[in-house]
Amino acid sequence: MNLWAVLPVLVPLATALLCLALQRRPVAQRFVSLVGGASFLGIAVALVLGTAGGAVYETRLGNWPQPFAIRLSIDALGAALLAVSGAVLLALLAVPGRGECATARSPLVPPLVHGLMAGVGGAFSTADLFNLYVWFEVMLIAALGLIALGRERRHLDAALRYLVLNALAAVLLLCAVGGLYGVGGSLDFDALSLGLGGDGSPSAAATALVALALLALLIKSAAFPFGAWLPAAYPVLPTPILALFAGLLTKVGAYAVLRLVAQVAPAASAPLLEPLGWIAAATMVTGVLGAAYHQDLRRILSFHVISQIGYILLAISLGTRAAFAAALVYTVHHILVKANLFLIAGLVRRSGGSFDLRHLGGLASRPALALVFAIPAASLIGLPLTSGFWAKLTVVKLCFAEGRYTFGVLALLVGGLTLYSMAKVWIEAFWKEPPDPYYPRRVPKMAFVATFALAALTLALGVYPEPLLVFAELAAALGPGGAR
Amino acid sequence: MAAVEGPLVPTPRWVQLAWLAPAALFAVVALGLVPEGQWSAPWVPSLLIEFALRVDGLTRLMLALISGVGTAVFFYAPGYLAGDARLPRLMALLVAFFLAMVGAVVADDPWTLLLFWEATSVLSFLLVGFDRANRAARDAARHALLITGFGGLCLIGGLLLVQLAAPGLKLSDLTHLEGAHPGALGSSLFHGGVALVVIGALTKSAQFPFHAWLPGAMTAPTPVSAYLHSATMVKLGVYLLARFDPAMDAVPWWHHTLLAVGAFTAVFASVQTLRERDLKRILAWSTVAALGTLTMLLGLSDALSGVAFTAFLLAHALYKAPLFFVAGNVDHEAGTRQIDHLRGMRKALPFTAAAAVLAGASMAGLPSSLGVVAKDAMQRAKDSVDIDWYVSATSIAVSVVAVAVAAVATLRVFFGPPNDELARSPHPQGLRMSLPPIALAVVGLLLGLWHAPIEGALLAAARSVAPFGELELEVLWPTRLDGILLAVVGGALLFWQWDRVHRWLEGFRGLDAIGPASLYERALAALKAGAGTVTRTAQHGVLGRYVAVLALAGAVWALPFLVRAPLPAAGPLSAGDAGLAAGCLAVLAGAGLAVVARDVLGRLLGAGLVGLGSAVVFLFGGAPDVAFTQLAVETVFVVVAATALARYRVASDTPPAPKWRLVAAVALGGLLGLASLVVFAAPFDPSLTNFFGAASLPEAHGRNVTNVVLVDFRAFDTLGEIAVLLLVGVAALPLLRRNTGKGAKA
Amino acid sequence: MRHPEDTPNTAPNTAPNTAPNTVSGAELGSARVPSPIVLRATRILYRVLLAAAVLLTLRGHHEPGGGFVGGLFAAVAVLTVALVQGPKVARRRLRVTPIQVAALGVSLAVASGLPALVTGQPFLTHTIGYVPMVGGAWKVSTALLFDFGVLLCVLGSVTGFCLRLLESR
Repeated sequence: MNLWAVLPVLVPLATALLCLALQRRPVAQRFVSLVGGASFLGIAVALVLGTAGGAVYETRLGNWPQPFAIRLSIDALGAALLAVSGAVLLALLAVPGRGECATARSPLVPPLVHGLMAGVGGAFSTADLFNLYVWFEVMLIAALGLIALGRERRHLDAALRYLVLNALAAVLLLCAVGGLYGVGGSLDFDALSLGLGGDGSPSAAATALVALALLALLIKSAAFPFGAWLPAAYPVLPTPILALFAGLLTKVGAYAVLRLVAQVAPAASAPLLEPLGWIAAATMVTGVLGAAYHQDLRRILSFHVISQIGYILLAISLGTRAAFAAALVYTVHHILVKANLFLIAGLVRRSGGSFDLRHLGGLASRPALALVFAIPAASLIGLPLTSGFWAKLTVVKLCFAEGRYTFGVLALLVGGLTLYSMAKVWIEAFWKEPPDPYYPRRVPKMAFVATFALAALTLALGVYPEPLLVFAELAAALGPGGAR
Repeated sequence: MAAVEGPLVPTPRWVQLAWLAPAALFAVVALGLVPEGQWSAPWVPSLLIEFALRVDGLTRLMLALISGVGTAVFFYAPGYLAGDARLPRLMALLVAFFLAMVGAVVADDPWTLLLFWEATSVLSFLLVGFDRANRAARDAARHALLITGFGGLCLIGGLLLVQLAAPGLKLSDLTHLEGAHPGALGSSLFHGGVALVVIGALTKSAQFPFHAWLPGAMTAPTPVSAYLHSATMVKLGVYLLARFDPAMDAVPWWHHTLLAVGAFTAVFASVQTLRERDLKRILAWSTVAALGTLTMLLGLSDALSGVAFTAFLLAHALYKAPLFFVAGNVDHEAGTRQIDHLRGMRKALPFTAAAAVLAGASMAGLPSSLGVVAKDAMQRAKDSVDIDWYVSATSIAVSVVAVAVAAVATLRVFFGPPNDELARSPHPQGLRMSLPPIALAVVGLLLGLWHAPIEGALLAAARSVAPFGELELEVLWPTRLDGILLAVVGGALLFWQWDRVHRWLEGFRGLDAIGPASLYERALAALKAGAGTVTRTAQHGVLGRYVAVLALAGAVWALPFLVRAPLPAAGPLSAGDAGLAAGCLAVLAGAGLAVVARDVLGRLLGAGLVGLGSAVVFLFGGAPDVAFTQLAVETVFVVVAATALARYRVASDTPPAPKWRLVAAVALGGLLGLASLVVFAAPFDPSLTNFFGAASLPEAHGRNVTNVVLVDFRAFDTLGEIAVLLLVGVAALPLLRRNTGKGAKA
Repeated sequence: MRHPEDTPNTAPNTAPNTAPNTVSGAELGSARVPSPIVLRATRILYRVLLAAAVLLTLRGHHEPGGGFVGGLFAAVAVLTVALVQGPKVARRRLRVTPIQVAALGVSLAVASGLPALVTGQPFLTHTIGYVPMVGGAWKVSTALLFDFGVLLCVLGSVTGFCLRLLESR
């Protein structure tokens, strides 16, 4: 227990340090990086298997008594997210590093990527509010480094936007964490939950500070109208790194919202759920409209990230245990699909020579590319037999069951707009005659391995979602008493 | 599109033999080897979803239709696209579609149905856009996908609502809904759900106002049009309505909606038929009219309407598919589908001409064809129930137009003097292309003459749709010929005056501008424009505005909750507070300086002053250690930052910020200030600090509590923070490198 | 000496750096040749500051101080050298690149938590050992190791940053 709970932090941290030491030996660095990624995934899968049996991997760091120690506690929720994060990490590491720009080949990429993963691992494992903030910072800085690696003007502009808006979120989060400590008397999730009034009657101050913390986390998860940093920063990144960002960064924010709402402050956050639902709805709609508008594949997909975050937040805002389970299902689905789509965008670029739909065409003559795009695209839309179908179905079903018909209808309509956006990509990039007959080029088979693996995972969850749904139901029992 | 250019590609063996698959299924169904019954396997128990299948009379009829027409289509396609390299792709998609259709009609669980339903939509998209280099085909495919996709969403929503009212509902429960799910029919959720299901079905069956995609879908190759867009997929919508019909039979809105929508669609499509010159589009509009008729029949509440529905379902497939083949053959031969140019084709295409005549006779409802059986059943179904006048009028009008269309597709195209200007295809049309239409048409004719083989099947299917009363076999014999006579005479008149009517109707171009087709175009344009406006407004790219929006929105979000929390009471100041006050003043002054200063150095000094003030606050707040560190960090920061500014010659003068940014800044500052006041008002729980103080020396062996907290109690936080520091170092490297000039390192 | 962060992906720029005495280096050296007295004073200051850094860290557990402030002092020590003798000399003093120093620091901090894991205790459970040395048995704890990790990390990051600034023009 003591060992397993720290591994999701220590393994990527150690990998990052080793990669830093091996900067001048690209082959060795790549090897270490892959081994580190594989170990991360292996550990996370082991944790999933363990938590599926009801175990919770806990450790009180420094062996100080509860609730004074920083506690790491990997429950089913954390383990599931660690596992999909690991899958995404391994997939992007497996994509050959050659590609659109020098950034992807820089020897600084592996240390920063694993540093970011250390932040992700810490955020998904910790049961301490301040510690959570620390891991958010780790992610912020690692992400900033990855954005700025390009060193061109557009990279620096993007880095500046990313830094300013996320630093603002960090300040807000720090203030909120301090405030919650002041009001609740502890930083440990469970003790804080009691201090904030548990399931009973929370003070108005507790609600106010939870609102402040949610504000910070909503910025982190790029909810409307706080998500401007995301489309401003993402499209400058090389696609493998973009896959990592899109898959993980905002989802950690959404995860923290879930922890806060479901476990730390269920009662105190109750009055906030209604406005949260509207924010989620606005996020869904504005995100998908952005995707409908844009022509650059990276921008389209970036806006879909926002839109999908809306679904996750919408599920959380329903405030029931089943809804929390749905949020987890959606997050797992979304991480797999979105990361994969960005990896595929890289392949599209390699084959078609551009990210811009206006310059693309004829990719349907590359059947492997067409197939590997079609699967996650169908999942993003929510077609049956893909993970996205069950993810959307459960969210909409719960909206209806809770009597939130407006939200349910909006969620369905956003699905329709997603269909529009993906049809646009398909028709323009795959069907239209290529503007330049030199394209599309062949892409080596090795480049498809990771994307096909992720697509297969999406399909597997789509064909037989029951294990995931049962696991999510188990994972949604958060906090000492479990959620409502 | 049918004409083949370039080198001929040999047809793979599996493509040539693909027709055996539907043929085998047809044989199994025709021989009655498919037993009625239900079968299910658990799929997603936590959502009460099973993978459930069921076979009853209607399923059997649909299966026979899908496999029968499928055999013809699969046999036809290799001839139609002979030598085309894309043929294997077409066949693969058609086979997938065939399987999806089979799945859709045997599904019992609504979600199993939905799975196959969406599959047919996607395959339809891929097949309509088959000729992907053609822009019109791509647009038509998008149109079909968006409309049927929208319908799919409605269906999902509807099924969810229906199952909220009746958990775990199966389609087979709908024949005895009150027994299976008591009270469901009284629930408004159920009715809302069914309404959404109806919308979904209407999109699939191309009913008004969702019909416009179907004529557009005629850009698809002929086998696709014959199979998907006349015989099978578009029937899926009315099939689903037929499944719900037994449960909704006693509900008034159900009847009125279906009657009204079906009747209007039928009339509307009939009029549109007369406005077309393209043979395939004429057939497409007449398909829409037929689907409208089917919808209308479901709206009639009577056992006979069930018979009429199933008979017409079968008859329509058996005459419309051959007519599409005919259109395809004519196009293949003459290179055009414009009826203005087509005449006297019977010399060139004798078999096709024969098929056209037979199918046309059935479409016109001439005696001794299957069409007449359907028409007669419809007529008597309408007679037996009390219906609105418009239903009768509609059906007569639609029949008249159907007769005229049949005449155009046969007499006009194949008879009369040949048009010598038309090109002749160099490729002769073999068995592959002439057999399927004639076979289907002959089957239609034979069944019209001799009902016995299908009577049982039709009645069984009818019982699935309208399980009320006993039906007698005799109902299938034609008894009423007056309505048919009227239609034939009217149709003949219309055929005679076709071109004149056409020109007259062409004058109503203005109507197109407000029609649903243009509505779709305009909705698409509005979506693009709206998305552009929203996105450009939200994503303007100005960092300062992002921050301001974030601050203001954040204030709107959090302030309502902050103002509700109690604030601390003001207490008397003590002497020790003087230091704190000094620190606070320094912080305020620094902040003010940073805001007022126009140049970067001034702002930096302001920030430094803020840090200095904070150090003072820490000092008097009882944390000299923190104050010490803060001071050191602040000093180093200001010095380094100033050096950096000097080195990089950052533009020092910046224009003054707009006033509204001040509002945003105040909002954010106020938010945090208020939050800290709220925290101070709350009673503080000192147990953590007490523990740190108590455990520091005896257990952690350190007198300096701050340090013990950093390296022991909360060492993990520190570990994270030094990782941040390291990452800052790594991240800063490329940033700093940019302006270093050439070779200025190492 | 070529530094790892000057990566091969910007090929033309890095080529001259592999030779120790490049144009820029010579320029920096010739621009200000420190007098021997200044040099000597710098060396003394460097050692004093480093000693202060170590002392601050050592006593940090009981008195004000600690790895963070210690790291800042050490950084100032290195920067003093950089200001007087140029960044090249300072880099040579560090022997490894600043980033490697920082990475070593983080590694040290992680390592200080590992013994506990081996004995089945939670990560970062510190233990104390007594090492016989001059002046009796010295108390050495893994917490101290951790604090030195902090020192190295701060030293590495701050010097890395500042040296880069000094090298730029």
